[in-house]
Amino acid sequence: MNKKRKPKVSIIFSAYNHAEFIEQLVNSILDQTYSNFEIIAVDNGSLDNTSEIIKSIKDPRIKLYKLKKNVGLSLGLNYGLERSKGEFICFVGSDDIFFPDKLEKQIEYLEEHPSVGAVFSYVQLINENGERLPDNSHVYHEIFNKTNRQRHEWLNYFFYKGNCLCFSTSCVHKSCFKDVRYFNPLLAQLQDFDTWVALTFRHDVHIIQKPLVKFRIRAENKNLSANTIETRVRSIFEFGHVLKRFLSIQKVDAFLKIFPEEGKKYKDIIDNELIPFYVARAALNVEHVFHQKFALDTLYDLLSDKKMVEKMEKICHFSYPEFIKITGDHDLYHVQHIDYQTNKINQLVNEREKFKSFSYQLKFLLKKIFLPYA
Amino acid sequence: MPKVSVIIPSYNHEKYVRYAIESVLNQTFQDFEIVICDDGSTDNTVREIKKIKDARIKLITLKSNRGVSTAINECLRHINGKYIAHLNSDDAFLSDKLKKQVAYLDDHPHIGVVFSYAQFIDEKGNVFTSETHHHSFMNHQKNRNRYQWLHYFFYNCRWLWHPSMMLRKSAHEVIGDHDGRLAQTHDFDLGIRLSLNYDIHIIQEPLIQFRIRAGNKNVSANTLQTQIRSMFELAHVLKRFLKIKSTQEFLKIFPEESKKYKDIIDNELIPFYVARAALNVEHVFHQKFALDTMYDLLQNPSIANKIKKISNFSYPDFIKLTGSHDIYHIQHIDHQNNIINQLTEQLSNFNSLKGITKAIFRKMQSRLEEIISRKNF
Repeated sequence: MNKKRKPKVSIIFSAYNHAEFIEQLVNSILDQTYSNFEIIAVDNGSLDNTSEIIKSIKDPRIKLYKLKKNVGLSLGLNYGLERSKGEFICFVGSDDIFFPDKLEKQIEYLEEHPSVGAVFSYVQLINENGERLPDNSHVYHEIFNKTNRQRHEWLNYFFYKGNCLCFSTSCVHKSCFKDVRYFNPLLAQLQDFDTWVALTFRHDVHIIQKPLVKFRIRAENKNLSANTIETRVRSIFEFGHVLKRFLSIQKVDAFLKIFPEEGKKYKDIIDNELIPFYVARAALNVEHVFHQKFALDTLYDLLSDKKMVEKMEKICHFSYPEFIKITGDHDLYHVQHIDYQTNKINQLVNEREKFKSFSYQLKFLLKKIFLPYA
Repeated sequence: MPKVSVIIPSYNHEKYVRYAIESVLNQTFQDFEIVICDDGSTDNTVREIKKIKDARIKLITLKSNRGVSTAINECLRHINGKYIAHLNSDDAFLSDKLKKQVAYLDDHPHIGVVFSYAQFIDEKGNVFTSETHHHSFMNHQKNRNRYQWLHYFFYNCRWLWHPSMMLRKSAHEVIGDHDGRLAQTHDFDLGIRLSLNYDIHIIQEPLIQFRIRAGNKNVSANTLQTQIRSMFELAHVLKRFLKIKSTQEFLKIFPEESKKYKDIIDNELIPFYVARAALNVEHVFHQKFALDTMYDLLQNPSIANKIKKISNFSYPDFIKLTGSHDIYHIQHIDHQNNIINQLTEQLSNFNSLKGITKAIFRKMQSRLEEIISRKNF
């Protein structure tokens, strides 16, 4: 009779060395105006006392899982997902904070809109001490606080611009994960983006245009997505692979909805089998190296199939010679830019040498003039 | 049935094609056919070819330029010989080329393909020697077994004198056509596929003439575009090494890997072993190949499990690699940008120094004038 009520919402986070912040997050969840939830806290091999702090907060809704070794964010979240019981899943970064009505607003929205698979929200930026930062203090404010769009418009945005859905504001129907794979463990920067892309292909998404989460901007680039060389290099690699999601578009109609500008440019978008070609061609015109790498690699693979080659040639007038032309034109590795820089450096060094010899001569001259008076 | 099929893809070589064909007709070995495929030349190449009357010449013409691989493949569809000799339309055979190579293949049935050294000729056909040309290393290659060659190809990404190649038709039938997607490295790509199946031999004397053209007119000339294209292609050509069949074969090709690693025991993990070897090569195309290969492999959960168990390599290790291998030179570009900014700043400082110096000089001048006027006083 007194059977435990199944929680409606599972809030999942994977914490790594966030002892400093974790209590604020957990308390902000416990303070929600909506109370039928469980917290799946995965301590992802923290070396600090993250686990101890979570344990010290007494609430039966908190379920703590401690992993001995850090397995990366994706696997940490997947570990939580596998153990979650809620109908809705909220993911959150372990250094962020919920506003008290976060769950209430989002659950209400999802229940009223059964076709929507995931709902997000705006963010308010805070610093290490939890103090509010001005909205214009970080690019994330602009990235995450976007107006709503149609599904295909989102996909268009994702393809050309990248992510704009904030992980820590997500609230997803658990049932979406029946046809969307869990987080890809090979990705460390863009695993959420990768999942949102896959999700948007199958379900509507919605952003509640009100800040429901305080998003922490950490000093000295300590955010997981901070702009260090390493994260930039990794993001470029990962984006090239996330773009492969777009190869799964099934129908020409769907392609044209996502890429209406391609329909204006080309009259050959008529064959479902050629969708990977259409997607690669669209990517080829984007400036980023990762789009171009994705495009060239995709075309390369397509051209290994004799039947495809015939079809592409017949319908799109694209075959080996056209391909060979573009493999020489798209300078993925920035060879040309590096050459340009090297030349520029040489030129500047030469100029500096001229100045140096000028100042040397000047010194010599001054000595000659003034030595007799010394 | 002729014993040898000489295949010549031709493209805009009106000045040289006759010389090339005649070098075949003048061979000391005469049991051959010549199959030429003109790849949509826009000059008089086809007319030059047609001027030569010999029943052994077959000419196929393509309406538009399809690329050298396609032209070679077109030739290959029309051959009858037991052996296939490749020739470019601006190069030539020395008179004993066919005789010596046919004899070698006849005597050594386990050899699938035979090469030779080359003589350099200039645009006028004059023979010259060069030890500095970027191809001249090919004239110093010693013979190796196919595993050693594969090792060499993997790390150096360099091929042999392609127009000196004569292979068995049976070998061609096993390894298949030239890859139409490749323009700079189609021959190198074929070389890897050949070496994975057959031993190769180099006759260590020049049997062909290789023309070096002024102004980067060779197909393999090192222009920016060919460099960019080669880098792209090589990352894909390296995939051929994923076809290594067994760990025994892998270890024969990469003996140093067994000194470094004790986990090379599972045939299913060969792509992982190959990618790991590539990861340690400096070239960006090796690294791109390595990361993409690992990414694809690790998508498969059962393989990922195996790699974790046998090689102790797992997702966090991969994630480290994707951040540390700067394929697109982001760091280098940043670094050079910083240097440019520093230098620009220094120069602007120098410029203002120039201004200051001028001001000082003006002051000194007036001071000097003062002193001089006092002295006069």
